[in-house]
Amino acid sequence: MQTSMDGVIGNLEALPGGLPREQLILVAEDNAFNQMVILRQLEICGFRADIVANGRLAFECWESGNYALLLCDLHMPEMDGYELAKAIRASEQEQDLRHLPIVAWTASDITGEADRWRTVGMDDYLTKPTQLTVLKAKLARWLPDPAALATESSAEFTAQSLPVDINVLKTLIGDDEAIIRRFVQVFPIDAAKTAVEMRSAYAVGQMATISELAHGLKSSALMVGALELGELCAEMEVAGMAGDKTTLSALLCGFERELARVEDYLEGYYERAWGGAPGTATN
Amino acid sequence: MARTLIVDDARVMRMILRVMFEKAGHEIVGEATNGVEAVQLYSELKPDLVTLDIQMADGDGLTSLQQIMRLDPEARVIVVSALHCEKESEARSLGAAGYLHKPFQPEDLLRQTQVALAQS
Repeated sequence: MQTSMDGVIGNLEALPGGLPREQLILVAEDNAFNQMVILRQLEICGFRADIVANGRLAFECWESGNYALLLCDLHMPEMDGYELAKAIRASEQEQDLRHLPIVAWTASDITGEADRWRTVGMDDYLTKPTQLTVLKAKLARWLPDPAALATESSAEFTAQSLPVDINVLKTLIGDDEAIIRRFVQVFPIDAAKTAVEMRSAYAVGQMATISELAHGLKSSALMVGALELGELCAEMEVAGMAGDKTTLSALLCGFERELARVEDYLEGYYERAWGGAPGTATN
Repeated sequence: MARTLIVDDARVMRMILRVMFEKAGHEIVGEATNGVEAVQLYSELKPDLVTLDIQMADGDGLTSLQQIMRLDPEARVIVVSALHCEKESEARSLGAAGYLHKPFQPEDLLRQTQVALAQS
């Protein structure tokens, strides 16, 4: 993550070159945790993003930039999402500009507020926390070039992205070194234990058990910043519940590959931060 | 400052809750990893507050909520569940003082804590 200009956070450096600027997404969100997570998720989908913390800055960015889509929190300081959308629509009309797809991004279910977000000219909405598959579907719906969402390009990028973003955890619990160190030790051990249990359950055809195990690990993974692992857990939870053995088989392999990346990454992280191997952490 | 009991079968989740609570000045008096242990520890420790994961490996956490509320109708229990598990109204009708979706942020937890503790 980098800060390119005052108040604007972006992931431009993290992404492979060659993406057209028209695919740049503007995110207006004041919460640091949500900023971090959406930036990683957009990276995983293969998109660059600029993130700002209030509506006023978002409006300034929009005026000076060329964005494919605006994802915007409804409640922000200075200028909220409703005012921002209204201001953008008014300027578009005045200056005869292209219609920018605006997607409301909100923590609560805003179906009750549907009239309000529609009235100010927003096109769609997305609830937080957002699952990667849902995000991908929304992007595919609103972006001018859905080809950018092709599985190949996102898979290619996935292979390059970091399996864990420790900053996600730091945003939640602070950056006390001893505490972070403990999480770096413990998470891979518990995740590996779950992986073994999943394999055993799969061997005896207990798909519902895999669903429960995946469910149990999902939130921990998301909160320590292992976002892709968390997404895989969410998919396995659904497939397990549906008793879909074929899908589970593929997901389980993907999960094990991703877990290996997480383990390698955290081991390296430990060595860089504290020297030596993480060792064992017991319950 | 509330004396708090954390109930969750995932160690990482218990660690996250502990850090968030301690940073806000609350005391963790116990941790339980399943529903049976939760009820047992509640009766032993009589905490001011409980966070209870309702989807643990050993079964339905709502049963534990019911048992805790039977032990102590004044118990303040914040039910924790993953998103898309819509059991809030059921949990509330059983006496839950708060409801928290995972993944959550410290401010969500502390807001629920404040509301739960304010209940008389």
